[in-house]
Amino acid sequence: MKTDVHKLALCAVLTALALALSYLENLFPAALFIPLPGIKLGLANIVTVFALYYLGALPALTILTARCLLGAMFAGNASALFFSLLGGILAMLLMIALHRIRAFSIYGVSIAGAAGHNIGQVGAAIITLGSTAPLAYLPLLLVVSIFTGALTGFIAALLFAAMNKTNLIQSKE
Amino acid sequence: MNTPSLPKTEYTPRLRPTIWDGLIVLAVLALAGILLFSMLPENSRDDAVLCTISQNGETVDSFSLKGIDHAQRRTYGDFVVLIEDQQVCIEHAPCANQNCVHTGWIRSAGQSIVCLPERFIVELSGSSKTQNPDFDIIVK
Repeated sequence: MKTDVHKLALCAVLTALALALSYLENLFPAALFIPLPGIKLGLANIVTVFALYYLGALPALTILTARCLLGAMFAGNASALFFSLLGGILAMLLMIALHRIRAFSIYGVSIAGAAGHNIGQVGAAIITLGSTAPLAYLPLLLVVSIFTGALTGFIAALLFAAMNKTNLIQSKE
Repeated sequence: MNTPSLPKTEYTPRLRPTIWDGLIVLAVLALAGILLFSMLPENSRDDAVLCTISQNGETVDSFSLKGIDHAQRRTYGDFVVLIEDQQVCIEHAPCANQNCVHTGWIRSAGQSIVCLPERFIVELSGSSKTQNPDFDIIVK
């Protein structure tokens, strides 16, 4: 089908965008301002949130997995793959569960995703280190995720608002 | 401009925060609070007494902070740990991100510095129950 090709191409473009955003983020690490391991803005999450609403759960999950695999390949770091996959998938599952609940806006869903990402990453650290020491970082990381999640939610909301104006995308409902 | 070939939006999100989003924020804060509360040692006000250093899951060093009365540097491979005034910090680390060095000083029981890339952990504990029963006698 014609739209499937478009969808596939869009998935590829979004994967590339997510990769570029996470690379960009590495150039300006948030850890310089708040010295906490694993702290970051989660700019790539903008793409995940956008894909989830625009394309649906399965394409969003595919984009996320492809981003994690390619990101780890470029970084040449297998343990980074475990961290980003566990964080990313937990964030994704939370957002998939919440995104169709009409009570929550893109902000709430994005915050839940950011929190889920941190829980997954700390979980990965606990498994890798075989020690519960990284758990000590989680409370602060969770508090920070409220702000980073709200920020990525804000950018995703701006994106949708702008795209609605351009008439480029149409609603299914 | 209308491009019907672009996929239609699967689900149109609400773009303004709702009161229910506050519920998610509260849930995240509650989780953080519960975690923080459950990790507080019984005598959290006390300074840490025992410092444990481990790498790759194995304890490489364990010492009492109270037994150290002048600044000390300890080297573990490429790591340099600085101990001073019953505080500990990682002064030098071989990792790329240097997060563990940026963490700075830790001094209370329950705090830790973790270097993920090198799997190096500096942990402080305060509860004397877990330690040598003779410990208090040495201190006093």
